[in-house]
Amino acid sequence: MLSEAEERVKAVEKNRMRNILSVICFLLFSCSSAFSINEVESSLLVHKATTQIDDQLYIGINFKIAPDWHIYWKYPGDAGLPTRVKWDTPKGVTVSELLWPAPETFSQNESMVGYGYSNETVLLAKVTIPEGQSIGNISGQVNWLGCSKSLCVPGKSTLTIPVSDLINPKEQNSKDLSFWIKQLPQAEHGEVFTEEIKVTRSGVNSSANLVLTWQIAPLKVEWYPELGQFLALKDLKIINKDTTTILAFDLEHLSGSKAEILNSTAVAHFNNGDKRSFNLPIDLVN
Amino acid sequence: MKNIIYQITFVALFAFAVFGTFFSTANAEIPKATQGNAAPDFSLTNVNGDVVKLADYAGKTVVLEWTNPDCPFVKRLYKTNTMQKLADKYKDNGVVWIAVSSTSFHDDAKLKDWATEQKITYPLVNDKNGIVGKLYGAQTTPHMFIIDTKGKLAYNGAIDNDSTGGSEMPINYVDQALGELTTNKDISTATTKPYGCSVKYG
Repeated sequence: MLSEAEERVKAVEKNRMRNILSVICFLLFSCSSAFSINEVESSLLVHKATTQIDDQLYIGINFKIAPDWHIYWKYPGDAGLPTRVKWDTPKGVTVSELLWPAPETFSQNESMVGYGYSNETVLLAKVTIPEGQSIGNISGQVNWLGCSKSLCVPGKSTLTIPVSDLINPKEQNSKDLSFWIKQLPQAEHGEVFTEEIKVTRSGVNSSANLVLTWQIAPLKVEWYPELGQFLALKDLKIINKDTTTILAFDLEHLSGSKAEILNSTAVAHFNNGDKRSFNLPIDLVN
Repeated sequence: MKNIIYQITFVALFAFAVFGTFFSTANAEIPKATQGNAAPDFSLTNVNGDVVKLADYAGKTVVLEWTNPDCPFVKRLYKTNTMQKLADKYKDNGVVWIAVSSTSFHDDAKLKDWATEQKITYPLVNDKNGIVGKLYGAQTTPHMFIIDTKGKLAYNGAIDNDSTGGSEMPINYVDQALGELTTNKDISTATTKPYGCSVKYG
């Protein structure tokens, strides 16, 4: 049996513990909220990295994207905005257009899809530097739109790298980009698959049927069309069986669009974990 | 006491069954907006609590602009006064402009503050349950629809061809279509793919 004084002490201790726990909980909650807000605000971290592969200089813009957020591919899908970069280079130095690793699909709302990147990606560009040129900086003004399910936030940054660092990469701004270079869609695919494409047009609609025959059966095939403002995709079906993939879809040519080519990217996932992507232009006329 | 509870429960269940059926049936029966066909009527309240009914504008050209104050595309277009100027340009030609918000988490107060801030003179109606947005197939903010004087859907798509806001010579499809409609010409570009943020339906 505890005395009244002992009980009072216990109650005080209990209260103190409760207060301490409340403060800890409050701090934890505050920290996690602040962290998540910061995470969202600064989720698109860009860093510069260079490497030389096959005698080709590459520059890469590294995006680190917070969980549940994404940025967009060159064709964003049903909503969104492509990530953009405007390069500023010293005389004689050239930087190619952005080279886009294969994107992923995400849902933008119940009926809309988006094409882009989550977690991390590197957008690449090829750099050429004239013999003997080593002064000046390459700068990129990068603009992106980051979106979650409920919010879109535009972001921008200016990234600079000395030309000399491309010739002699330094530890702090170089990174092996070969993983990302391997993600770039390949123009040649004859050794991996062959394709038969049949497109028929009737009025404002085209129906396309593509049969891809693979050397090695893929586990899964994804397809990313660059539709633009005057082509609407309908009834896309991708059927994958053994070494054959059938891609069937309808296109509506909006406002009488006379689009002749539909550029697209096919991405194949193989049993060994390999993922390969290929440019797949589709002639809409013949 | 028990009896009263049973009675209340019964009445509530009955009311739910009757009204639930009525609303779902009513929604199912409304045909969706399709190009060249009659635009579906709707009745929504604006941010001042006034009822805005499409049928009240019969015989007039009506522009429906899906909007979201949080969307960067909308912010850019309002910063450049693109919407306000366009609404003003055709006001004297009898063109009615209605902005619609189908963002599930935006209440009237938020929309009213934004409308005041942007000096919006046309009605901004709240469709937070998304019924009208889905009826018209609004996908993005902005997403523009023009209903002609016969009440038919005459334009469906983007405000312009400049999703980045960086074009030196953008084509404003809504301006083009209103110019054509108000001079009794056929609309040269009647459908485009809208761009912007996805509509944040609940």
